[in-house]
Amino acid sequence: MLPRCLILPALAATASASPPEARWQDEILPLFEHHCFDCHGDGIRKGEFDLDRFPDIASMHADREAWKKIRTHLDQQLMPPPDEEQPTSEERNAMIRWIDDAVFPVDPENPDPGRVTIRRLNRLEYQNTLRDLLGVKVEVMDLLPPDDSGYGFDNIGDVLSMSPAHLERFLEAARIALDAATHPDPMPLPAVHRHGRDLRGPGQRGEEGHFLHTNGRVDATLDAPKSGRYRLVITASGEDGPDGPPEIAVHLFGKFLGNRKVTAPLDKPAHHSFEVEVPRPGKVQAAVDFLNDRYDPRHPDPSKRDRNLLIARISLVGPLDGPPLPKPESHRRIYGERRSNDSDESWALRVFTDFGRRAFRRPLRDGEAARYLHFIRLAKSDDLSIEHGIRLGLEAMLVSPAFLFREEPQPDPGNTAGIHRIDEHALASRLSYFLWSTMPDERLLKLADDGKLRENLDAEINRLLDSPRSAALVSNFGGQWLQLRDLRSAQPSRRAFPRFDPRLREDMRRETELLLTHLIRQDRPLAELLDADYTFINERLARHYGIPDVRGNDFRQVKLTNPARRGLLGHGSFLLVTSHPLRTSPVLRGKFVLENLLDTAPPPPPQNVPPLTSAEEHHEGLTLRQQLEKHREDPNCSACHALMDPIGFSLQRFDADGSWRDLEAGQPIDDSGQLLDGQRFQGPEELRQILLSRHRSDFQRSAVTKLLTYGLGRGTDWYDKPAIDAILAETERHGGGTRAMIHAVIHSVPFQFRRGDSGK
Amino acid sequence: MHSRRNFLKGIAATLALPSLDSLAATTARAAAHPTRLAFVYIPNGVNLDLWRPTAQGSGFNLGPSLQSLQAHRNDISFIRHLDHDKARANGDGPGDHARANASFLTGCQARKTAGADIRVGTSVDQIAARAIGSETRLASLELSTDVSRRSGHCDSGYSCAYQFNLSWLDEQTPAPAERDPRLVFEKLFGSGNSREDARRRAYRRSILDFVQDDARRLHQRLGHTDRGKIDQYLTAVRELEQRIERAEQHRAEIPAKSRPDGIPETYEEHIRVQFELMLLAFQTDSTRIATFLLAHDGSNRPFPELGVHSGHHELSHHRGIQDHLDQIARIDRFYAEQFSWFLKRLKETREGDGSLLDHSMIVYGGGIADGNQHNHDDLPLILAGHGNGSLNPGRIITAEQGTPMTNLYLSLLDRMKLPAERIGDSTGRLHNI
Repeated sequence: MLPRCLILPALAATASASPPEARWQDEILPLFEHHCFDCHGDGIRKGEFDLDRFPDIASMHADREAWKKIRTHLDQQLMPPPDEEQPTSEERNAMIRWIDDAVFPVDPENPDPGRVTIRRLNRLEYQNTLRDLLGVKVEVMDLLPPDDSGYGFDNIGDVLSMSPAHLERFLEAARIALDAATHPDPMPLPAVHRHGRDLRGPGQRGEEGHFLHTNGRVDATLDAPKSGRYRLVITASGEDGPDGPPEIAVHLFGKFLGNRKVTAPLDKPAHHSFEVEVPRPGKVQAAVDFLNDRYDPRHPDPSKRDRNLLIARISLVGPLDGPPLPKPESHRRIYGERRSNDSDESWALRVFTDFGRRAFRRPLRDGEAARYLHFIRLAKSDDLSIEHGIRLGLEAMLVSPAFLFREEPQPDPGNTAGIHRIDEHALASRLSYFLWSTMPDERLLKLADDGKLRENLDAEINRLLDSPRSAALVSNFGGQWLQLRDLRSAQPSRRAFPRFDPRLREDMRRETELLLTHLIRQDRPLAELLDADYTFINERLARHYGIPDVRGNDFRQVKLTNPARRGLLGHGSFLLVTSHPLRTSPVLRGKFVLENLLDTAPPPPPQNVPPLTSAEEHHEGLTLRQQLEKHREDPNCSACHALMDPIGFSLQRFDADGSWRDLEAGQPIDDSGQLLDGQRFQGPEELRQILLSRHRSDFQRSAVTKLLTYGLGRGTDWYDKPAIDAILAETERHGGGTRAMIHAVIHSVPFQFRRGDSGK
Repeated sequence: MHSRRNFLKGIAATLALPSLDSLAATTARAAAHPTRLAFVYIPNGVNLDLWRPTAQGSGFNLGPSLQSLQAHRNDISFIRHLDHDKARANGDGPGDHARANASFLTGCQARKTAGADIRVGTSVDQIAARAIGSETRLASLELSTDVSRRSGHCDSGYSCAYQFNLSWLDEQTPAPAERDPRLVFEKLFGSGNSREDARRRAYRRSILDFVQDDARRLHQRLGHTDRGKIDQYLTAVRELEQRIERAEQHRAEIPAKSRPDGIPETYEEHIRVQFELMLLAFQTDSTRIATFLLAHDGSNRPFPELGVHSGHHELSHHRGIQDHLDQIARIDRFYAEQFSWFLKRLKETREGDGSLLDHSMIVYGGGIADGNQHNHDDLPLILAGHGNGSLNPGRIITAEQGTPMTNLYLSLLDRMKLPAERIGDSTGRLHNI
């Protein structure tokens, strides 16, 4: 027999012929009466829990949360308590099966798509979206409060909250981003600059510029694009001498232009301008003389003893009658061209309509863009240009809930029974945030505008997956599912692992990401994540793993000869994030496998944690395994640890830094384990075989559940079972590959539909 | 390193500034010296044997881990037998860290959920902020020095929202804490360019006013739960509008050079800069209410600078092993030293005839007593400050066994002249503090 907890969902499939009501009376209620009512029925409410309040199935439906707990307690053998008479496993299974049929009935013909709570962009999605919307890269993520996670992911609508602190930062981030992307003020004239450190002449050059401590000349050659009038600007500062500030003489083409006194203090250089004529395009010679060096060490004011000059920059601005610099590309894309017959308002309206469509990821509603003209009027009343007014409107759009939240409109939002296929714009957003963690691109929006996205869905999924942007799926979904994001903070102790190069953490993340990418790109079965006989490494990581003949920093696909390293369980990423700084943790490794790979929450520890072992009772010198085995002698602890520990023990030859070892604390390592059914196994290879032969479908189901959770932005619940079954079947029908699985998730009922929500 | 030295030097320079004096003068008219309330959270329990004081006559001897508080022994009390019953499982199974964190200031049982329908309760600081927040520029200040978050699941089926937030605006909305001292500073004192700030405030006001309409329209198109989210948004808009208004009324000019530049390199400096900002916020009467999450419960931060190479959480399950207990004590001592430094700074900061510490009430403690047992009774707790003469520190105060922590909070609110009926699971007042 398998460990019970590992086969949780599979048993529920078979339904019995007789109706649940009849079976309750004839078969199930007697079991509950016999095993449960001594404490939880007939007026007895141990632990404030009784079954009396469930006279019929309707009452059970009204409190499904309670029945989830009952089911878990039965399934994980937490109830009846160990010292009471136990139901046979047939009886237990019958009770569980009945609960599934009666309390959690699903109808694959009429599936419930569930309901995703309106999702605020998380801060990563927000930053990516700004990048794509504005066409500039802005780093505003750290400005925003970190997002809380739920169900293992940070994109869950229910959990993403909106506090004043959030909104304040969204306002600030919008301002910073628009500062980078737009330029509402008139553009300056073109200019060429020569920094002081690049000037020729005697003296000293540094980051601040060119220093002259004695009289002398510095000069520079600048390029004038055309002939015409220019402005030559000397940016300089200095230190006063006994009788005043430094004085300079400025020349162009060797011709004297004028003298200037440099009064600006050393740390605040100021500009000195000369209008000049450049007769033909090409090289322009500019020179500056320091005229009045003076040094008087006996001057009473120490700040006036030494006169020095700093030339920070020489610039040539112009031509003065020529056109100013063009607006930045990002600005032009947002503002478009103002047409000759445009009024201020008609231009602004067009900008708001175009920008709003992309910002709100849907066409604007009637009058929606016109409302934003408010900001044009506001700017006018403040004597600001139309371009500033537009800019204010854009800022408002970026903090509007229509931008920050992903609305999925539906005709009857308050009707729980109303099921609605989400519209194509909502679908476009679901797709792009799922696969790219950013807004839909123009093509997706256009298809949705034309109502042609669903027709082209598979082609679009492939297009999105083939784009480099799908790296976001690997780093955000994979990064959280497999905890790759945690590698940044994983810290093998320098004392215990002096040879561990911190750059390995990044390499390890990369290794697992590349494998996931490969599985998606090549449509390989996701189970290959567990047993690929190849991996992606560079020289540093190869050395760490003891793999010869890999040279250089580039990652490449390498065939694995040592079977222990195959798949995720041999990846440094997994091994590191499940270790403590000083040692491995079989418990954490076991928990990772159960939780992340098999989606089996380890059974809860006992309610009353047993009294702590006193120091005297504690046997120092035991290996970790011996300590944990002692721990498991306590029946209260064994239920949980009997599941987690054997998995972890079989991986004990992988050290806490992911390297291979043969000894632990000077003792040989016992990497054998035993499952609850008594079957023994040893080492990572046999563990992998057990996972793949007996739990392949658990793994697949688990992966689908995680993908669906991430893709939808909500936790999955009992009513999602038919959808998950369908995704699994669909995946198999299309060859069983990872890409096929992603397609199936997107085609699934919960991804394509939503139901209303009355709050009941 | 650079940043903190500059920053602390900068603060010292501001103390003599006329603008601050005049600011103090204006606030002095409003209330002689307002009482300030702060909560500082330490995670994962402590090594109780070395943490707890021993009674000595009417006073006490400090435990070995808290020797750094020697200079403040007359400014602090230890309160025994305060519990957080709502941090216990109460039928919800494992998840003591998430619950300890979530219940510490709310006194409520966190609804066990990994995401849907998060619910705990309004925290005591926010109850106070709602009542008197309008009297200062910021209703409250939330600080943290927590590490960046781990991905994946949090404690045993609880959403991470419970484990990483101390302060709750309402039962569904956590108030996120700020880690970056520069951002805290700007929140308190603006960008340093007051003309630009004033211009920004005006535009922000029009933008907020405008998007409020967007939100109302959206609200009408949504189902029940989604409306709750947009309600959060609307609340945030209103709160920000009020904050802008208050910023117009109460101004504080702090020279830009005292601006901290980002997160310091070491944990100690980070904690001290945040404490310094809390002090500055109190001193300038920018707010009277603050919370400070040193690290979330369950934090597995190692302290290599203390020779502690294992993670704090891992160590806290000490199983009675002496070496682990010693290392926990080292961490306890470290946190106490930072707190002691803060108390010293409060004491050095004069306000009227007394010090800022005289006018403050600061709760320092955590929601787990012993990390190995995960117990939530007789929690480690220090109450520091004199509460404008309303507290009688320098003692061990022994509450009745099983007294809810929230009874203490009620009594603290009384001293802010904010009588509340109850907070979370409170059953009454804690007298004689």
